[in-house]
Amino acid sequence: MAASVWLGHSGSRAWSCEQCQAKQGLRALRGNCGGPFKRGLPLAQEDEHGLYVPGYRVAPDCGEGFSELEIRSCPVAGANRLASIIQAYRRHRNGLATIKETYPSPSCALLEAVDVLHSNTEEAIYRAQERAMKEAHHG
Amino acid sequence: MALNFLTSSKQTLNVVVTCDSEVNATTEQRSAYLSSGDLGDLGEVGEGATRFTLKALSPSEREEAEVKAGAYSRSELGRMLWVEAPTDPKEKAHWHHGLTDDERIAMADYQAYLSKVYIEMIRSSLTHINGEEASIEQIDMIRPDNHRLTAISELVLHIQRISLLGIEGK
Repeated sequence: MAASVWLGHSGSRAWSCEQCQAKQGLRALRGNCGGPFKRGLPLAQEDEHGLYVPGYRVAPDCGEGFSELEIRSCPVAGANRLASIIQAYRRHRNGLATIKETYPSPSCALLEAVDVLHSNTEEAIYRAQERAMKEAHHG
Repeated sequence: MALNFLTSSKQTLNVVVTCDSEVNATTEQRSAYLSSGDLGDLGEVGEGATRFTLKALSPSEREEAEVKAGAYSRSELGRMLWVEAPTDPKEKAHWHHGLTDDERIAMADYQAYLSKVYIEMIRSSLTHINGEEASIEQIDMIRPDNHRLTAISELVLHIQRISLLGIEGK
């Protein structure tokens, strides 16, 4: 969920579908859009649960919480699967439709997902503002 | 990918328990099924396998389950010890041996609280068994006892997976 925010925030430096389309074999190593990572994936690390890539490797300009997250399947595919929730959150944020209107009986997971989206979106906005101020300050 | 939660507390999912005699699966298949909830991961599931229908919990149902189980009177010391306990069984046994009597009582109290939470979660989530309205009392009647315990722990795993975001979802 947080990946959807930080992939967008990191722009061209982040993982994307275009990279898999451009480089032969990369999609398979990244788990074919949702499966576990395969051995040979660049920068992947391994623990008792299998292969993972740290959050800061998939979205280099990410927030503190996401940077140490162990990503075990393609975050782009994950964000695509959660597109309906992300869209509902954006509509809610823009005042077009409330979460309650889109999901009249939300599960705990749905509310947790919206919380994660909201806190990461706020952090991304703050980071973008901070960077803009620094750039303005240094010309 | 472990993003298998349900977005609405009105949505339901049919599951089976892996100790069902109609289920023929390897340990890996059982483990994969408990992670995904996808019956396709479970190898052979006979027509006669018992189907449990579970609904995702809403925030108020989850809170209610915790309160009914004693969230306000549970042992905080027990919770702290439970979090600190080593995962390796042998190491845990030595660690537990070194606890004071008070700490052991607190830990047992917290474990009892967790068991009650699981029962209350099933009470809130279980709607049908084989298409007929069901209740937690029917789970209590499962015999032999080790199958009852397996059924409870597996149903709780499914409820948690469909009701909570999980680490992958974050």
